[in-house]
Amino acid sequence: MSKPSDLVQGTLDLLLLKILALQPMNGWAISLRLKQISGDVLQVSDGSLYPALHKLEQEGWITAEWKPSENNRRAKFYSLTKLGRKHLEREAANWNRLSAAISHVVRLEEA
Amino acid sequence: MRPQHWLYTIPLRLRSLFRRSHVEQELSEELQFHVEKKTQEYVNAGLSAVEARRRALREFGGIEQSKENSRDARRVNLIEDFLQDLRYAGRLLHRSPGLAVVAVLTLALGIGANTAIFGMVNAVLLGPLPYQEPDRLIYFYTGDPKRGFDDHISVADFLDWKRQNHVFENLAAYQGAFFTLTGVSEPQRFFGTFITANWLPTLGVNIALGRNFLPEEQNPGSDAVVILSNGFWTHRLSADPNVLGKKLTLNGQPFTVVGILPAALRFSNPLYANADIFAPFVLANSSSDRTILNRTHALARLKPGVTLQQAQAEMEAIAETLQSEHADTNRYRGVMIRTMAEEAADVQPTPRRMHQSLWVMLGAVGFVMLMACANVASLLLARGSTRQREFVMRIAIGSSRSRMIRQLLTECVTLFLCGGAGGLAIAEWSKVLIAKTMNAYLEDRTLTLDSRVFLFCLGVSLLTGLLFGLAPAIQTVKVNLQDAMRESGGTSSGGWRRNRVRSTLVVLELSLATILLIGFGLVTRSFLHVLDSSPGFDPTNVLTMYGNLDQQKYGSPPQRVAFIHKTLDEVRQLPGVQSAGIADSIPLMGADVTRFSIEDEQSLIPREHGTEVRIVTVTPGFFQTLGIALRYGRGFDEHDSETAPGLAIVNETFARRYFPGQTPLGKRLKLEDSPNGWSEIVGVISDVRQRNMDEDIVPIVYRSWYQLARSSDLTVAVRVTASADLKNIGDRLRSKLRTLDKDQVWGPVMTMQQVIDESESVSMRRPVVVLLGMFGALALVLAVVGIYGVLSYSVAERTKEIGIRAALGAQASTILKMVLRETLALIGVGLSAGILVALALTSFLPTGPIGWTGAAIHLYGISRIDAVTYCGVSLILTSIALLASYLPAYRATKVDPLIALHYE
Repeated sequence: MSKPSDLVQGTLDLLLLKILALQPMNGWAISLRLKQISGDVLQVSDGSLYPALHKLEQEGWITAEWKPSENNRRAKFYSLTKLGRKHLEREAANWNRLSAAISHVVRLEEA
Repeated sequence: MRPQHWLYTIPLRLRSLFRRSHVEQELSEELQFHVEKKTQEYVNAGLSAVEARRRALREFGGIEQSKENSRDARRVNLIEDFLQDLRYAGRLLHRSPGLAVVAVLTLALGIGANTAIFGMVNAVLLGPLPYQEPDRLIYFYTGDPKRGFDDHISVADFLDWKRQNHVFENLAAYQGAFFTLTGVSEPQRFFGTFITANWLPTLGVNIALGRNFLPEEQNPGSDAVVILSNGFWTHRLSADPNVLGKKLTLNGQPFTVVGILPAALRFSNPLYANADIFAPFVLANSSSDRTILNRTHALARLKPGVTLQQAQAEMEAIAETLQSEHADTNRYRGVMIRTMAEEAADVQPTPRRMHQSLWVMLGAVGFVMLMACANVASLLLARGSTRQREFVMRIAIGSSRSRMIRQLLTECVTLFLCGGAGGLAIAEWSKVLIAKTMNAYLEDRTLTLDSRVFLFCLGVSLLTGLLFGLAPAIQTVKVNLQDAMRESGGTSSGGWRRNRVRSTLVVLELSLATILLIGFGLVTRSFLHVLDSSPGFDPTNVLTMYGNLDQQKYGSPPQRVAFIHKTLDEVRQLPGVQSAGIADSIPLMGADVTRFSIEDEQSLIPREHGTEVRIVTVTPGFFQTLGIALRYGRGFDEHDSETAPGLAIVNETFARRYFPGQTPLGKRLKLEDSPNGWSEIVGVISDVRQRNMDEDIVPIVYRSWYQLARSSDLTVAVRVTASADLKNIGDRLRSKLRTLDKDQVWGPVMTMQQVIDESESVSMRRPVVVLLGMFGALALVLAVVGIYGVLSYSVAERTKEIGIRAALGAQASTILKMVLRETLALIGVGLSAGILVALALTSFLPTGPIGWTGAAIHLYGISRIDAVTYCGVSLILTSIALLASYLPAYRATKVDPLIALHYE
């Protein structure tokens, strides 16, 4: 239910980790960033963003901290942990391998 | 998962669980922040505040949903749900206390019985050896590889082994011994062991009070010290804390107490398990003895890292050296070693048969447990149907089925755990009773509910709870929503299916009850046959008293004969005494064994090897006192003295086996234990049960005390007049014997009937009968409850149908028949299944000859397919089942058609 139907399972995790690898962010900022980088291709509802973040936190890949945001309002900022960085590297490598393989297959069919 | 991973996650989960409100609040705040930002964005884009917020919320897609999913992501829901289920289960049980009480009580009985029996198995069979690292403990045998080994060693060899080996840390010797305690009001003989000073350290046993022997206490002259078993200290010395340094008179000599062994210690098989007194083994006295005649044993502890094979090789090398050095004694003597664990596991026939019956009882009590579970499952199913509405509603509003199964399982396991707690209480409470019933099995072991028993109890409760809870749970939530909603009451098809499951459970119970009762019937009928079998003597009005002659005072045969003459003379003068006699071992007490050959060259018996035979020594008047019939020839008389030619009397089995079709009178036997001459057979007596009431009678040779006063064991038997008061004469017998020699050891006065009751087979069989009887009774009660439950339910379900039948003019008898037919169908299937399984199971009962050893579950006097048992059980179960169904059936006949048709 919480998984966006048109996202390959695990892709959202990968995206979130990647986004957080650049800098710690709060949920709102992450949602903006998601839309910005993936455009309309990846439709992630805001409602499914938070469960995904909480799952990553439970796995120990990201950690959360309450910090004042720009207008001094308290917000929960997520940042990547050492463990999360390793996981991201592994998953990114996996993804690259997988997508390369898939596009190869797809090209084969076209030929 | 990696540990470092847990470093992150465990605190997080704990935080989610225990700081729940805090975490919840943070979650709200986080989502709130998001929504506010979004709203702000829309407001900035020019929307009104209200519209902006609405769009923001819509776009977010359900705050509560998101929260729930976030909680799921935190994976604490499982535990939270569990706690919630637990609370809910508690409330439900509280709300239907009747069901809770019946279920918990049933389970407590089942689990309690299982725990108690397992406790016994645990104490008797699973108790670990009470020594440190028993795998490194070594037990020694010597012998000729061609002829076989035995566990006796020579002291001189032992000293050589000790000097020459490099593989043992410690090498200790010991020897069994008897100690007669005198200087007390009631002299008594105790079994003991002479041990070397390193014996206890080798085993790794620590002294509870005082100290171990010092090495110098093994020297002649300084060895008058003893270590006592905890039992001796507790029972004979009232656990006197100042016992150390006190003196005991043992075998006429003063011994100083230096140590007490721990209470829990129980030596295993080869270590004289029932020894009470330990004294130093003075090796110096026999340091040049190369024979194995004084029955010394050895044990050792392997050095760390040394294997059994290496030690065996070393011992063989040493044995070879000794073979050449002492060719006269050691030429054929090899050495073999085994671990103590192996030796201890190598149990004697009698314990092996006891173990068998313990497993049988554990199996039987397992059946009781299954029945209890079936009953509770049936109860849960019945309740499931009344709660169906609740579940239908919950499914309709979106609860998942797995979630509800989890809840039902929690309820069920809660019930079973409550039952388990009750069972533990029952097991603890019945400990004393069981220990008393099972005395023959437990000997002096104590029944304790240790951690293993507790884990067993917990495991049984949890496992059965999950197993028997799952089916009803699945059954309950397996509803078709639409059907269930439409049928707003009354009979549902689900109800019928459920009742089919319950009927199956009842059939299962009936067959289990059948098996249990058949087992009980077979052992009970065997037991009754054992009690009924003719012992070959007349036990009424016979008193016996066991005694043991002091080796110093009555060392020579003439001294013994004189003592016996005096004893018999005194006893025969007591008023009320008809006759008296003495034997070294009376019937049902066993007998010594020796080898014999028959003079006649033509005989079946090869003369060289000889054949084993049991031997009993009796005084004149003994046969008459016990009412043992003389078949032909004559008995012993007072003139058959040591100087007269040797005489023997044999039993009928002996005569039949060795002299078939001819008279044994006048034939002569050579007995290995009386090498000085031939014994002429002068009489044949009727067969007597010499060890067990159910034994396969063995050939026995009787000889006269006056010709062969070798034994120091003796039992006085007295036949009193029929009108005499046994107790009174017993007391007078005792005080009379006391006046003869105040230091003489005498056991308690026992009637011959008591001797029968305490004989091996009777005391092994009785507990099995009692326990299986209790399990059988329990099984009957459970079966009645089961049948009653399922039929009541069935009648209630069919109220409408019965009402219609009644309205259409069905007679009460027709309706009665209808219900009873259902019972008969259940009992028919259950009984036949049970009988088939019982036939299969009883084929595993030990058959074969019982032999000389006591038996516990051997069939005796009946066949495996004992018609009385099978018919009796069928009859009892059928009538009980009909009885149980009477009330539901009666209720069915009283159904008022008017009310029944308005039932919905």
